Amino acid sequence: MSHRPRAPDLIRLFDQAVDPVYVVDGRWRIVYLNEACARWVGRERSALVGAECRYHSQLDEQGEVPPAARLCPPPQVFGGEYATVRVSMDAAQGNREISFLPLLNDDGDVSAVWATVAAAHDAPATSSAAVSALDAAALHARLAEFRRSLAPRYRLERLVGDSPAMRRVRSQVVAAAQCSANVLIVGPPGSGRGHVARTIHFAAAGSESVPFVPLACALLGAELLQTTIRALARPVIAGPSSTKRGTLLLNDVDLLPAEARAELLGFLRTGELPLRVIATARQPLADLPGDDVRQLELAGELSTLVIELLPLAQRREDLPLLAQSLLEERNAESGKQLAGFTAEALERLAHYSWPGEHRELRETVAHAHAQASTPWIAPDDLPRRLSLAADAARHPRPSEEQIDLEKFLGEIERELIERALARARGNKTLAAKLLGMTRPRLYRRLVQLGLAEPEDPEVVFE
Amino acid sequence: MTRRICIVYDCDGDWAAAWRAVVEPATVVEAHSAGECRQALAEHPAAWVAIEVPGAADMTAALDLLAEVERGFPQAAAIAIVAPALRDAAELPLRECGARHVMSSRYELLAVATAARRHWARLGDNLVSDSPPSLREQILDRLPWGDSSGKNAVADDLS
Repeated sequence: MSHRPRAPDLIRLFDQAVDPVYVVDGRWRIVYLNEACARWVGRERSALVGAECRYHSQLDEQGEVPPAARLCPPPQVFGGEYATVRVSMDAAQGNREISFLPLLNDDGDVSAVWATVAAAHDAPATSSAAVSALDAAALHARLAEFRRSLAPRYRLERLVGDSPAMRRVRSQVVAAAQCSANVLIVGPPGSGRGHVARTIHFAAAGSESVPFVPLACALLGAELLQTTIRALARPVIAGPSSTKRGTLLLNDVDLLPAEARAELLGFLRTGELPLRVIATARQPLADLPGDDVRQLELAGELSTLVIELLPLAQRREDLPLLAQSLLEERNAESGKQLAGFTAEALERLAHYSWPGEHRELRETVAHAHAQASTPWIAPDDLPRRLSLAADAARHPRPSEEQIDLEKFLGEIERELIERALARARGNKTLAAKLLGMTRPRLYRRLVQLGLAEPEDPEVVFE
Repeated sequence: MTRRICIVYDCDGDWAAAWRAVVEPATVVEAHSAGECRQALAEHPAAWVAIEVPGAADMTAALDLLAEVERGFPQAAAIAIVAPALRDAAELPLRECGARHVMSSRYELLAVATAARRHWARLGDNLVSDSPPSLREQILDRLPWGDSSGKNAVADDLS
């Protein structure tokens, strides 16, 4: 005869557990917590059972986040996803990791969330030992020196340009530096989005040395991004005297894999990231295709302030000043001192389309700086592609490539069939499997495309 | 595929061997000193660079090298490999100085190798072609199963 544990027995077992355990119902209320959890939170059980745990709870009398709010599951858990988050009740106890398991009812809705708390991997003893081993003071000093060396490159006045668009960018950068809101910088690759982000960071940091952490969303897959974002949610080593938050730069956030969106959204919502977030994208996040709710929510979280960088081709009036500024940078870095560009060279710069944006302009100026044999850069000192582009612009554009759709699709089909046959080493059964069609149908298409003879004894028509 | 270069700066060649296994057919260039690493970078300025930071004493040099890669070789991408015990303390400074990622275990290699392939693919996107590909070429490039020469035949796998 099987023995079915009664609820009171189970509760007794949980009450005796040394690790904190608690349950939140579908209305975000704490319906159970064990003694270990009450001790960890530092409140009586009776004060917590029935309490609502919302992230945006009112602060208590001491101006602190109520303990119940810290037990709140991330939003995705109420969407049915398993999640873990790190929390710290107080410095002495260090970080803990809460694992949230959604409990679904018959309708598939989350009726409650089961939470267990365990020591986080970065327990205080390990962390402090590592920092000590690294000689934290020396590390801070090295980082402070690194930041000081970068700061002059990212002063506001280095955002060169007199166009209305650039004037607007500069005023937005000033506004962004004066607040801690999330910022989204939109512009084509190479347009200096990262430069603008660093300018905001350095302007906000002022004289303080605070971290700037770039994260390449387009390069790292969902798995690496998720682990990195979790790692960054740990307390930041910002230096002993720092009072300001550092910056997390999410490069190309429009390319953030869907799996990592929920993770990032959770951290943004809970305020667990100890860094201010600046993101860059090729287009406004709200314009991205698809109607993924998390994508829209993330767009809302990240787009508090949107700074748009226009392509160089749309603000050609900035080119002379920008090119001169880059030339002076080259002058400062080398022994060769040039005065500027001839009018013809500037005209050539102005007529180029700059597909590589600011980055391409920088490379072009570097090339011209190296080539120039007089103090003034002439058109011949510029890369050849600029003159080729100028020549091409004088000729009429070739007509658009035209296709015969039927013939074109036939060619694509033939190519796929040939590839499948080659891939299957001529085995028609396997080729048909690759193509997702039956063997007789493949034969029929082979005949129709002239790749097999009709009298071929192998050919079987459906 | 000469552009697919992975420079591995490590102590004893162990990490280079591991990287070679996961990024083939890319070329792995081994460096066992910062000087060798700089020289390899000068020859392959768009490389994927893995820099091992074996101990706390190597941190400052690693930060300097990463910052140098970031500034001097904008087409390159560097990551840092740190001992697990150092990771928590070292991750942020290494990232700030230019590490695209910080790893500490061979179990992470496959995921990080995927990032390396994305880096090389992006370099390919940035290559300037004299004549843009036709619509047909663009579509053929996107079709599965490579070319129809049979070089990548998988009949044995399918059967």
